[in-house]
Amino acid sequence: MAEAKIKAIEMPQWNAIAASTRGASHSRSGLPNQDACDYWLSANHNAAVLTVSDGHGSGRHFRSQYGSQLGVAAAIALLREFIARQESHYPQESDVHELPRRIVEQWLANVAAHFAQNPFTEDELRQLKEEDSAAAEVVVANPPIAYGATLLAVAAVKDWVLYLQLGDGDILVVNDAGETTRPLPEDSRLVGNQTTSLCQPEAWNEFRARLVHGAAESPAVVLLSSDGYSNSFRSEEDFLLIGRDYLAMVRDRGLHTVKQELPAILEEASKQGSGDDITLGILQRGSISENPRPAQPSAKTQALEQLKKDYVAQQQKLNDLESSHRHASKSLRRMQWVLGIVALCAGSYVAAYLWKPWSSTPPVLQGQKSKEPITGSLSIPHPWTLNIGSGDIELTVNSKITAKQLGLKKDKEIKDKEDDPVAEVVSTKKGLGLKNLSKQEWTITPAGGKADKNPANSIVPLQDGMKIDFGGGISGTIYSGHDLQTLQAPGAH
Amino acid sequence: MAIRPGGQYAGRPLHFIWLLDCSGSMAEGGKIQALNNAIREVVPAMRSAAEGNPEVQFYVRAIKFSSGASWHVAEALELSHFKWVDLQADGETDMGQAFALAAEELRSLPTDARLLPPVLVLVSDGKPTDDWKGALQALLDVPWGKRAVKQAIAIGQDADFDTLQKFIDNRERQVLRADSAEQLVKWIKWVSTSVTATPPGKEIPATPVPTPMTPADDSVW
Repeated sequence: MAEAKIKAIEMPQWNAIAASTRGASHSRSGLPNQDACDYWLSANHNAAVLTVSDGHGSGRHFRSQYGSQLGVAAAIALLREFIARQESHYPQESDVHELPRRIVEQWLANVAAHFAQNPFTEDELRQLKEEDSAAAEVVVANPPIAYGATLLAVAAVKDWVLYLQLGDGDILVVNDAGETTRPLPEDSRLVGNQTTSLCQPEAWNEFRARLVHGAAESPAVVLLSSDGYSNSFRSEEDFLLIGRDYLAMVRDRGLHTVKQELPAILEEASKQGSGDDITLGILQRGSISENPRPAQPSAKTQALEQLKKDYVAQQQKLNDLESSHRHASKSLRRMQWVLGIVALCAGSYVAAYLWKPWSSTPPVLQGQKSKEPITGSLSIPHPWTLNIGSGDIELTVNSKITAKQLGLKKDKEIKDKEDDPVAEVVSTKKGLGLKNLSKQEWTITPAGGKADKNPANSIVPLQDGMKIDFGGGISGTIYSGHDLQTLQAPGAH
Repeated sequence: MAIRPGGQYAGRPLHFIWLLDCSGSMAEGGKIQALNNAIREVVPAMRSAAEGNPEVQFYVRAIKFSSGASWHVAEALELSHFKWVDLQADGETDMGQAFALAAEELRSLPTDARLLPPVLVLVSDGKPTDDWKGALQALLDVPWGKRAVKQAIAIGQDADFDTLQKFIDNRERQVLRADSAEQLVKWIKWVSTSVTATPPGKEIPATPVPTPMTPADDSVW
């Protein structure tokens, strides 16, 4: 217990929620919600990433609802990797410098992959030509323009927080006293519906970034929102009041309750304000107990817990032996000491192995010395993971996931029992896949793609950013730190 | 308890300013009366289009220029309060002074992302008689002047198309030419209602291809 308390004080426990609503004017004109948002929490909640993206929406950006989703997927993947690489030491400005370029390049790779599978349709091009024939030529020559979107992101660990922003939208930091500030400098160009974008040449030069060191600087709450929210208020002062108010709300009612309330709040703001899509993500520094669903113990945690139990059992046996054979106490103490050392060494070994991303030794990247900056496409030593909001489940070949691990409970909809395996990671010709061993149909939504069904006993290939709805209100997102694809600059298409 | 984090909600302001030529040549061929009629006719259509876009607060004003320039409608009025008082034609074509007046007004607007880009619509039938170049540059040097959506309507063949295109400051948007009262109404209606009906975040749609019109001979300018 004492150990747990100390940990709680030393480690901020991050929690996050996010919601997005289709703009009132979009609903009238039949446009989709072109915003996207997502977050990732480490299994122990001492690291988090929250990101929001706003698709530009106007004529030539006719695929920006996918562009924003692909932006969010790129940011989560790259910031997770950044956290994993930098956990061993305080990251410096120079470490951050390269991040925007890598996010943009990953976004372009994501866009290229989406475009390869979904070339522009005749309808899309005809509609654009009718609106603006010159724009149609530009977009055909440079497809990423069709996907144009902004990007806002925050990555937080125990002793630093990183803020990143490209284009319009707002990042607000709220301290424990409810004081609300902007962590990033203002970009005076972003007025009159002007915005910088992921789709512009060398977009990485347009990022604003700030790395804040020190646990004392940890915000109570960080708010990320698309510009539809701030534009819904009468003034900047009216908007900034949301910092104080959301802090009070999450403290009084809990993050889970606020999550339920957010859609109605944002919808009302859009109706009475800007009419635009509105997205809000909230990152809260707090106790893990405030999480709506208790974290499922990961394989790492379970292994460590088992090790502790074994050690305690051995300790108990030693104590028993000690009391009944006091005459052999000297040799027994030696054995106890040796066992303790063995257990400690074993524990360190297992911890170092299982907690690779968090170990003090930076992971060695293929063909690269660990201290050198990473460039080009490299193999990042991350396993595939399934994030179910409360934590990660690592996806290694032949591993199975039970209903209990996912948090699925048997009821009218869910037929599987707690210990039944509901999914298995399998190897296919195209890479890893997840086989549906459950009795239910899953709903699969690839990043930037349309939802599809995955019936029982069928296999879905793993894709970064893909969402799986397992039924019973449980859904998760697949993440990978796999090789970055060869990157294409705008205009290369 | 109703939950509303933050302060007061409000729609996004959009400032719409007419810059209207009232020089002596506008008195010829009934041009000034056609312009008055067109604007009077378009206001209800603008109101109707704006109703479909309730998130935008439209504010309309008008500058007139002849020998000098002045505010014809000085107060930024919401569409529901906007009433048109007829212009009279007389004097020179001091377009530059109208640019200066608009620049002064746009400079006073807050540089705030909440504002939608202002819309300036210039209507003229002739060549400027003052130093319009410096005044136009000064207008384009104002942040909102540069970012404003600018459109120009040329009345008749004597209009200075080159100057009007420079005012538009966007090669993708062409000067609209009105050779008859009907065409003038059409273009004024199109410019005004396309702005009021277009949701925030959109640019004015590309200029539609003018449909062939066969105006009566006596209405050709």
